[in-house]
Amino acid sequence: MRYLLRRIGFLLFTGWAALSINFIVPHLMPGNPAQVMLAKFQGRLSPQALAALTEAFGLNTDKSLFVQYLEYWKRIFSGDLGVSLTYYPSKVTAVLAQSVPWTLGLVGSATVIAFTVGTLLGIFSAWRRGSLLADGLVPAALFFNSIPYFWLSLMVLYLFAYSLGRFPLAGGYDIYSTATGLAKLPSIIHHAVLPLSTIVITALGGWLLTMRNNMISVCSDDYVAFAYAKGLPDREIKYRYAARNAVLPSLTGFSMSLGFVIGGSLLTEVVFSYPGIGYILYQAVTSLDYPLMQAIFLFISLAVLVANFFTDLVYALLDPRVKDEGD
Amino acid sequence: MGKARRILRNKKALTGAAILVFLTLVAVFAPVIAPYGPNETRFLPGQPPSREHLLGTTSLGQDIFSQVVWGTRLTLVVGLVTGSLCAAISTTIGLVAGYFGGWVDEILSLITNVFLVLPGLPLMIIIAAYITVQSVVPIIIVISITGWAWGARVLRSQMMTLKNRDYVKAAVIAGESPLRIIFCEIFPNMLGLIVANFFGAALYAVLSEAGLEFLGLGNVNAVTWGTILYWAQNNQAILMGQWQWMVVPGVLIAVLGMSFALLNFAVDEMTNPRLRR
Amino acid sequence: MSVLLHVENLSAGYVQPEGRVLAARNINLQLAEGEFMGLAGESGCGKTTLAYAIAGLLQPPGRVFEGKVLFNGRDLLELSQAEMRKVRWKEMSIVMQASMNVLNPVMRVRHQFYDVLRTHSERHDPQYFDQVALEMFRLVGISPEYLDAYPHQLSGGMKQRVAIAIALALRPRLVILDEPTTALDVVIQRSILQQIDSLRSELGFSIIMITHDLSLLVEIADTIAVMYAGCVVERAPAEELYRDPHHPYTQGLMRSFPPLVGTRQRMHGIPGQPPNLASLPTGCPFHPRCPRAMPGRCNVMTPSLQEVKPHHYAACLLYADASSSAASQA
Repeated sequence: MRYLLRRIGFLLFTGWAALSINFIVPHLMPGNPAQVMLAKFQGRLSPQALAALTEAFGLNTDKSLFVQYLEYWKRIFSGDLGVSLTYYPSKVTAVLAQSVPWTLGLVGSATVIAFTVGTLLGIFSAWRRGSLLADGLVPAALFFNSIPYFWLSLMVLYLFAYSLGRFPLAGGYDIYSTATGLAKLPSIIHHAVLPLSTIVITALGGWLLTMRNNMISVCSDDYVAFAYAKGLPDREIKYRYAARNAVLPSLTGFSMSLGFVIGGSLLTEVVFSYPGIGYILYQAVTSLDYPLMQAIFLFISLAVLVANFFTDLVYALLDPRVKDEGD
Repeated sequence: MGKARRILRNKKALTGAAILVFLTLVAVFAPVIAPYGPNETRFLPGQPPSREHLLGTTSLGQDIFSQVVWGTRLTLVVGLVTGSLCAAISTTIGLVAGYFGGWVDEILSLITNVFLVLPGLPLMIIIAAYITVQSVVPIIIVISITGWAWGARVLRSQMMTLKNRDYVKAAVIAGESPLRIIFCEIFPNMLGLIVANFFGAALYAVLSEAGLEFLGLGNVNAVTWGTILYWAQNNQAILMGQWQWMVVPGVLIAVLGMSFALLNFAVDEMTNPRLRR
Repeated sequence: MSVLLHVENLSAGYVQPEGRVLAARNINLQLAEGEFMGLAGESGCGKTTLAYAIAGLLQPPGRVFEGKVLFNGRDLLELSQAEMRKVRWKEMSIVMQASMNVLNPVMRVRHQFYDVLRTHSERHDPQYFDQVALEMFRLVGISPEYLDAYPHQLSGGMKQRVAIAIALALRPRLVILDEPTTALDVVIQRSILQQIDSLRSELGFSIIMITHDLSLLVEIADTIAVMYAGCVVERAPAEELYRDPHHPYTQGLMRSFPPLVGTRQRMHGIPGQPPNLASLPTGCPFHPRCPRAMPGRCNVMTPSLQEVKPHHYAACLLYADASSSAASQA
């Protein structure tokens, strides 16, 4: 119980921190980006929109920073994240709502697959240490872990979409097809294969190596030796004694690496023009659509925090020592 | 020296170091190796690889091979500087939090955990996007600010283990100042972990640098492998069939990253006896 | 009584980059059915390596370099993994040193009984498992409610007792106890050892108990073997060893324990440090610390175990001339 409370507390605190960073950053930057942006949109925005923007970015120097901070919070809680400049006059929340499902689907499934496969391979690599395959996985994992996400995406795109023409070059689904509802599914899957594979391949290595190291560490622990002395079958020792304990630090690492995976997936989306948050973020950055950028950052931070919280819950379920922590 | 021999015997360390040394040499001797300047645009644009242009030319008429060679310099410098800065921050915070404990630790750990959880790349993008000045310096700063958390946490736990060792307690009783204890007594015993952390930070720096530059942040007119990729992407290199414009810088980034990853893994192996075969 | 365990010329140790380090050299031991043998010696003398070698638990870089471990006539070292697994726990079990961590932290204690019963007994019903577990708990004196506890909820002493309980669950023929009572207070120590001993009389299993506490062994063991620097330097029935130790090392050890009753005496330790197994002195490994060392002989010749009295063996050059036709192996 105490553990849960602590995690919730941390979640709230970090959420607050993320939101505050979001607010503070534009005010801290040199070179007054807001002015630049205003100048850019001078002719194109209505006076009301301009006024709103001025408000939002604190160019209205009537109000003190603190007051603006409070108003920022008010706006957040009322769901008003502003209006997108690129997709004007769409509200930011509308733009987000459209792209979030794509990213959730892509990144969500990629992360789950990468973690599961990576962990299983890590168990194998550690258990069969000394064999060619098991040891060969290590440098392979190291290599794929060092490849920049976006570059692998480019290569995959070039090879399979452009050269071989087996997969589409862009998009989340075939925008020209007239299929509706579930009939769109095959097209969606077809479009998702390449970006999904890219993320999985790059993320897998990290988890493989972590699990492998954990397993090796755990295997030198006394209870594994005891299990072996008890004459238990190999498989039981591997899973119920070793892996079951080794997976715990992996879960901890999972939370931490989630942020990194998200980042990489953003770049992947850009390369594949996949209509998710990453792609939208890219558009926003290139066109200096600050309201949208900030909203996206907010959303991503909160999503990662929530995911972290769920990981912590799973960890608490798996490690009985956690409940008695705090003594 | 036993340690030197161990380093030489470790294949991963050797490979990683060899790659790093090779790339450093390329960077240092860039003017000699590259046939042309990186920004000379006097060549025929869009050329495929040939004897005069080993990697062909860009859509703007620059020699790709020269760009790649010259680009080694800035890429390496940014990578190493960022890695060092990031490692310095994580080492300081980790060591201080671990040693002093108490409320110092609580505050620092809270900050560390917050930065750990916040997704790095989006944060970097946001911050970098606001910077209107075209330079690599903001990139360095931004990456360092967002990437130190993991190393800090690892070093903090190691410090907490070590500070309870007898020789530290003896030093405390002898009246050594905390700073002296941290740097003269404990630090040498953590060297392995600190070095491994540096390589980890360098890897993170190289990949983040490439990512940000690819998105067009930083200085797109500087010549680094990341910016080469930016221009390649912006000029539809893949669709134009100029695959080498895309492939080569990317492979190099991966290779550089891998050298740091290897060194990181190797130092980890050497300092953690359980991982040794 | 038949011989249950016969260790023949066993040498085991560790493979280091600098070369081999022998932790157990040319060990020869015999254990009869139902016999309680104590293995005594300082830390680092190779007792645990020997125990692990016998139990087939040496992991790299540990290795058995030569010799045989004949258990019921079969050489355990020659068995395949699968065959050895059948021997484990059912025939021979082990309680490891510092049992703090031998229990799986994420499994309830109950299940750690279950898995060994499920693997080795023919039964599959939880009722039988519970029955066995409860009886074992009663034997070692732990309240049955702890069956459902997780290891971290138990105290150090309780974990040790659980480990002992699990070791006895299948009524093996040989139980190896490696410093089983170091974490326990003296009262529990005695009680547990007495319980183990009475179980032994009841069920007839043999025990090898490793400890550095010679005084403990004197009371309950049948035979005591004293180890130094990887070799057995003296071996005799317990009482005989206590009354008439021959090897200077054993004599030194005996002098280091005060008797509970009797006049107060000045205690003598044994001066010096135990040797580094990787660089042993020439000749007898004990000679640098031996008060009765003979220069010119003890630093040159390595003594082997000789029978100095009936059933009493010592490896010391002081008795090398005295023993006449005693067999050189013991």
